[in-house]
Parts: sequence; C-alpha cells; structure tokens
Amino acid sequence: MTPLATLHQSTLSYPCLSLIIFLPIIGAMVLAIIKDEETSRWFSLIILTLAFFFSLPLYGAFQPMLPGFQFVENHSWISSYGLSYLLGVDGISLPLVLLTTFLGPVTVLCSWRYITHRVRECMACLLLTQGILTGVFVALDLVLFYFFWEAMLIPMFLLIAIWGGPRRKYAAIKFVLYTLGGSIFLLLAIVGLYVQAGSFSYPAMLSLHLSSRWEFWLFIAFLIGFAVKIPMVPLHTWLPAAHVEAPTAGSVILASVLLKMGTYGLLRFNLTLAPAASVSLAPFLIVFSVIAILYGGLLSLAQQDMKKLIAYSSVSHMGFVTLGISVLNIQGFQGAMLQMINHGLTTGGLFLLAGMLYERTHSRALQDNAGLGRLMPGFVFFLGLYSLSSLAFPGTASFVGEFLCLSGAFSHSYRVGAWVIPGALLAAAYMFRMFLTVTWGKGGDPRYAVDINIREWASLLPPAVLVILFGFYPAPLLRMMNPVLEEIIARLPAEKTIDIAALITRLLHGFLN
Amino acid sequence: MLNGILPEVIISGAAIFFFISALFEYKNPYPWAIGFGITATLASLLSLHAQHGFFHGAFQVDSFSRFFSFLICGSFLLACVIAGKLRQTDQEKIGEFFFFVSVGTLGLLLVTGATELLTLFIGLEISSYPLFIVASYRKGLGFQFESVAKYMVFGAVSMAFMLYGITYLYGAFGSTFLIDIIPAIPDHLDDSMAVLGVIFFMAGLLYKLAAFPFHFWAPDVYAGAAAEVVAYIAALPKLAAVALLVRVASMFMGMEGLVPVFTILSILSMTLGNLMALAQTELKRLLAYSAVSHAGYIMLGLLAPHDGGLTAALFYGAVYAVMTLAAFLVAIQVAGEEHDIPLENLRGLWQRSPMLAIMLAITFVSLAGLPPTAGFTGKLFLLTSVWRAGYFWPVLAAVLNTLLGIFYYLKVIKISLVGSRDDRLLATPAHVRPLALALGILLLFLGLLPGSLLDLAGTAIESL
Repeated sequence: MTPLATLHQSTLSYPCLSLIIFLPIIGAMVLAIIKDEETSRWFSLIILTLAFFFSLPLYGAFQPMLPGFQFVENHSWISSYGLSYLLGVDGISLPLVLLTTFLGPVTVLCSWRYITHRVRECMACLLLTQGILTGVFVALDLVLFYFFWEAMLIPMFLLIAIWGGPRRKYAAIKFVLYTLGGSIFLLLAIVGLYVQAGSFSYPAMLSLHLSSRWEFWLFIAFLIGFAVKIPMVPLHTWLPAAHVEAPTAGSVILASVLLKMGTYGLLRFNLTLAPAASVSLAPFLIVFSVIAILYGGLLSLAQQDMKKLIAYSSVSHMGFVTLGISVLNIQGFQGAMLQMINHGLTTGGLFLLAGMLYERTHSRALQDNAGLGRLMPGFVFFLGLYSLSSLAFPGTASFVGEFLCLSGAFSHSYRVGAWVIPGALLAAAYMFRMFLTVTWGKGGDPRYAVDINIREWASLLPPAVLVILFGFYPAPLLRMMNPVLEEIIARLPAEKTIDIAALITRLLHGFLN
Repeated sequence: MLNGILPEVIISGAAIFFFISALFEYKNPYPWAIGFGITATLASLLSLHAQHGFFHGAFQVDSFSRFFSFLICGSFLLACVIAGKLRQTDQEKIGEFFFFVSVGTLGLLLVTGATELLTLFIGLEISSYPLFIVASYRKGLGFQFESVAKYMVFGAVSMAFMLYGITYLYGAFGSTFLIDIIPAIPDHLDDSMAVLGVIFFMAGLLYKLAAFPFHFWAPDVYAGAAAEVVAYIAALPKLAAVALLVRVASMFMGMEGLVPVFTILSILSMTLGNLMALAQTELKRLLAYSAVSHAGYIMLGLLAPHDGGLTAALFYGAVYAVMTLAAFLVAIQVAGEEHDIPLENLRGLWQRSPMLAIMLAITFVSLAGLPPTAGFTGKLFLLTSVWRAGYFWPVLAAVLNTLLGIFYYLKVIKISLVGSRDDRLLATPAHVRPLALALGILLLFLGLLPGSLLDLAGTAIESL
C-alpha cells in the first residue's frame, strides 16, 4: 500500500470535516424560517465565520510529515455498492479547504448591499455552495466526491441566473451545460474505476494496477471533467460569460474556489490513479497550458469590461497552474499549489473590487470607471495591491507561485520556459492597463467616487493580508504540501510507457471489450 | 395465508365499495379512497415477507410481489391524495372514477404476483381497460377522445402481440407456468420460436412502460386526459411493467439475440425520449417524453441480471414512481382551465408557492439524474451494474443522455425558480404543502440513504 493511502484517525475530539460541510448546509435550511432580510445577512455571516473558525483547528492539528489522509471520518454508507462516507484531508486538500472556509464570510460581506431582492434565497445559495465546495475537497469516496461536485451546480446556477447581470440566464445555462458535459465523463471514469476496483474508495484505488489502455482512457475521461472546470483552453468559453454575469459573490466563488476543483482533481485523481498515462500525456497538457497562458493573456489585454478582463486573466493564471502540474516535477507542483491558493485570494479580491465599482457606477466598462480610483484612496490601495499580486510582483503571493511554476517549466525544458515568459509579461500589461485606467484615466463620473466603507474594508483586508504574508513567507503552505507532492512524484514512472497512437488506433477495432 | 393477499382484498373491497357508492350517487368518495389507500399500504407493509402460492401457483405471494404491492398501494394512495378534488374531471363521474382506478390497481397487483402467463395477461387487461375509460373522463372540451382512441388502439395492438407471444412461448415450452418454463430455458437458448415469443411478449410490456417503439400513445394521452388521471397512468402501470420485466423478461435474457435487441431498444428509448422532450413547451407532454427516456434507463437493468441490475431496475422503478407523482402534484396545482399545461404556468412558482417550487426543483433535478437526489443514486446503481456485466456502450449512451436531459429539466427549473410573474398566490389545498415537503424530502432521502429501499429490492429479487 502506498503511503498516500494511509488513513489517520482524527486527533480532534469532534468530526471537524463533517462540521464544516454541514454547518453551512444546515444554516441554509434554517434560513427558510428566518423572514427578515437583515437578520438573514447577519445569520449567514455568523454561520460562515463560525465555519471558518471551526476549520482552523485543522491547520493547528495537521501533521505535515505524516503521509496520507488525516482527520479521517469513515462510515459505511451503502454497503452493497461499497460506498462509504469517507472524508479526510492531506497536504493538497487542506490549503484548499481553508481557502474555501476563509472566503466564505467574504462572499456574504460582498453581497450585503449588492443583493437587493430575494436576499434570503441568495444567502441560502451562498451557504449551500460553501458547504458543498468544502465537501468536494474533503470527500475521499469517489461517489461522495461526485455528489458534492454535481450538487454544487444547482445553487451556483441559481446564483448566476437570479442575481446576475443582464445576460444571466444565458450565462447560467451555459455554465451548467459545460460543467455537466464535462462531469458526465467524470461519472464514466468513476463507474469504470469501480468496475476495476470493486470499491469507490479513493485510498483503495491507489493500490490498483490498471492496464495502460484503462489508464489512458481513465486519464482522458477525468481530464475532460476537470478541464471544463479549470478551464483549459478549448473548453473555457463558459468562464467569461459566467464570471461577467454572476453577482460579485458568485464571481468570487467561481474564481477563487470553483476553478480550483478542476486543478485539485487533476492533481488528486489524474496523477495518482493514472500515473503512466500522466507521464505520457503530460506533453499535451503542457501545450494546452501554454496556449491558455498566452491566449488568455492576449484576450485579457483586449477587454473593455473589467470583469471580463479579470475572467480572462483567470484563464491565463490557471494555465500556469496546469503547466506547473504537467511539468511533473516538485517545483512545478509546489508552484501549482501555491498558485491555486494565490489565484484564489488575488482574483477573489479583484472581483470584489470590480463588484464595488459596479455598485457605485452600475457599469463594468473600464471607460465608465476611468479615473474614479484617484478619488477613492482606500479602493486604490487594494486595487494596486491585488493588481500587483495578479501580475506576480515580487513580494506578493503570486510571485512565489508563478516563479516556482516557471522554474519547474525551465527545469522541464528550456523551450517550454521560454514560451511562457511572454505570458508573465502580458499579465503585467493587462493588469497595469486596468489599474492605470481606473486610477488615472478620464471618462468616469466623479460623483460616483465614494470611497469604500468599513464593510468593504472588512471583506478586502483579510485576503490582502494573506497575499502579502504568503508573498514573504510561503513556508507554512509548502511545509504542509511537500510530503504529499513528493509521494505523487514518486508514483510517476520515469519514462513514457504508453503508446498513445496504438491505443487510438485500437479504438477502431473495438472499445474496452 | 390471508394476510399475504390482504392488499388485494382491500383494493377489491374498495372497488366494490366505489361501485355501490357510485350506484347511489354518493357525493364524497374522496376520503374513502384515501382511507382504502392507507389501509392497503399498511396491509402491504405487514405482508412484506409473506410467502404463499394461490390458484395452483398461478399467483405467487413472495417478497417480490409484496415489494411491488407495497409500491403500487403506496402510489395508489399518493395518486388519490394528489388528485385532490379532481378539478379536471367531470364531476358527475367522480364515483366511477374511483371505482375504475381501484379495479385498475387490482389488475396491477394481479400482474405483479402472476407467475403464469395467462393470469399475467388477464391482469394486464384488467389494469388497462379501466384506464381507457377514466382517460375519457375529462371535463368539457372533448379533445380527450382522440387520446383515448390512441391509448386504446395501441393498447389493443400491443396486447394482441403479447398474447401472440404467449402462444409462441407455450408452443416452445409446452406450459404457461413460469415454474415449468424457467428450468427449460437453457435448452431453448437458440430456439427461434421461443425467441420470437419473448420478443412479441415484450410488446405488451414496452407499451405499459411507454418505451420505444410502443411509446406513441404517451404524449397524447398525457396531454389529453385530466391531469389527475395522467398522474395515475404515469406512475402505477409503470411499476407493474417493471415487475414483469424483472420477473419474466429477465429470465429469457440469455437467449440468442435478445441482448442486442434490448440494448438497442433501451438506447433508442432514452435518446428519442430526450430528443423529443427538448422541443416541448407543455408540461405533461414533456413528462411523457421524459417517461419514454426513463423507460430506457430501466430497461438497461435487464442487461445485467447477475450483477445487481435487477435490483437497480427495481430501485429505479420505485424512485421513478415517486418522481412522477411529485411532478404531477405540481402539474395538477398549476393546471388552468385550458387544455394544456404550458410551461409558462410554472413561471414565478417560487413567489406563488415556495414549497411547491422547491419540491419541483428537487423532482426535476432527480429526473435529470443529478446528485444528491434519488434519481442520481438509481442511475448510478444501474450504470455500475451494467458496466460490471461488461456492457460499456449502453453506459456511455445513458451518460450522454443525462446531458441531453438536463436541457429541458433545467428549463423547467429555470422557469419556476428564476422567472418572476406578478400574480396572486397559488391557491393550493391544505394538504398540498406538507405533501410536497414530504415528497421532496423522500427524494433527497432516497438519494442520500438509499440503503433501506435497496435492501428491500434486494430481498425481492432473491425471492424470485
């Protein structure tokens, strides 16, 4: 049995993981009986803050050096199909869990005045998404994982479709269809794995030895499911629509947490369950990542809509993450993991800022907001900070992540590294373009320039602190994830073993029969 | 011995009661229907593990038939409750309505327990004819007669096919008793007479199940008949058809050529049902085509008789009955005076009746087969069994169909939750809201903790 599959019983006296999943979900149900709008806002804020505080002991009690999963909760669920309620975190998922719970209160704060109708329902959706997203990162039973993965769709659909911008229905349906289009392949992969392993438990599957044909198709199926979520380039078109039309809280959840589900899945399932296929198919992933970085950057440079600009920058940043994963070395993995966290904080922050401007001017166009920043010192402070972080300025969190991704790429091959460098430049170009226009451009109506208030400070400050903290001191994160990442690398075979051309030609002769 | 057939006794008692009360033009049979429904459901719960044979073994009381009698009596009760005051039915015929529905239910109970082909056929006939009659009991208009004609002609033709199939089977096996036929099947695996018999026999089942190619009646009957009748037609006969598929048809699956036929039929059924549903703008028609596609899913279970496919089919059938009844609970409430129930009637349901809207969302998510609802769990069981039995392509087809289905299920959810309409509150009878809550919770419960129903289905399969 690989060390990755070890399950360590929880050192905490209570089922912490279940608590942070179900506290928000139960909270959402309680909202059904709270009639008052203001109360429902405070209630959700309190619930999500509580969930965050309940998740902190996880960080305290986590033992980085232990490989495998900690805080495990294992209960039989549907025994005749080998399903279990199996939760646990390791060094990959813990940072993401903490990111999710950390951003929970922020999403409520940014919807405080932004959402003016059907407030209760909106808060219920936010609570539901929070709980479900946490579940995605801690579920170790594949069906449980899929449960959470898909259950997220409905509240997210409603968030976009009810409280979104003018083209919200289009965006919401596109979002659901794309995601579902990907996740049906995920379901296929999961059922296929079950047929091979006789169990849905992820740790049990780690000891599975699949034939290269199975590994190949498994990798492809998982990849399609995750690539939509990440999103990787040919499948990315839902993202700008959804980001732009979603309310601020929706954009923050999408950018900060939801996209990470894809890269998390890539790291968690693709690389460990289909290691040989990963090595063989990594070059293709690298190509797609480089395309995402450059293409996303170029698109972002051309946008007039602030949210669209940030959305395309997400495509580019997630390209760095997939690049870090697909170069298959430790720097790349570390970079990818850090970049996931940093992108969550930074882009979340940027979307908060864009939302605040929208609340003031009711326009997302750069033109209409030009020059307003000059009159809003508090706003511009955060805009500057998050923009710098987004373009990976040294001293901010993204620098460390992007640097590690790049160094991983260079140690993989100089050519890949050289291709990616313009992407980093592009990031500077589009971020500065936005920052300069919003701050010193001409065209905005100065009457709208009201500086951010305490509530907005409260939502912007915590991520900002972390952005700077991780920029100077990423060690706690790295220490947490290193052992697992090293284990994943140790599982990868040294060289390509799968003849892809042969497998594809075999398709013509019969498929998995 | 008697407690085994208590549900049948109670339902026939109900039929007799309603017959007499209709003669005397008794005005308020509704509470009685619910009373009979509750007693029958409780009785079938009590007899869940009874074991007995009747009529020289032609009618078998075993875990399997009791599982279905529980489902059928439960669905009968639910159908009666959601039918409410029978708003779309001609008020003069309410007494007869309950009489015919009870007789139909009795027929279905007979079908699920029948282990002799002719008994089974008679059960099917008993269950069909009352439905032809009640389908025409719609108030005003007169469009319903077209749909009744379709229902009847299709019914008669497919039943004739079935009878023809039974004669072939008798010719091949020399008996109409399953107990004689089943041991002889291995000797007839490539006996073309037996294979043809099975295929003809299927016709009646596919008709009841509204599966391709015997689904053409479904959209018209669904749209034409009164909503409360359709709720019954949509849920109960399907259960009996699933019972027959599992008890009779699955025994023959080893025969030459049946697996490809079944695979193709089920894939066509899912795909065509979903494709046709995409274009619908009327709720009942949409549900009809959705029924066609669900029939396809259920038939998948037969491909894996030894890998849990039958249990999965039973589970899915039960879940499907609940989902359909839940959907019709809403359909009946939003039905207006017009002939159809356009999807537009659901607009703004969220403001007009939050409870119904949430329940509708859960139901349609479940019909679409997304977690965390029972529809997903059922589908997962089906897919794992089928793939475990070695069939990949049907699994792929089913999974792709999930994607097709989401288009129109999502459309309904979108209209009811997202759209808004300035309209007065929906005046729902008092029992609707708690019922909606209960059905919503039931669908989530069966999705999250399907263990109990699955075990019940498992014991039912073991008793075969």
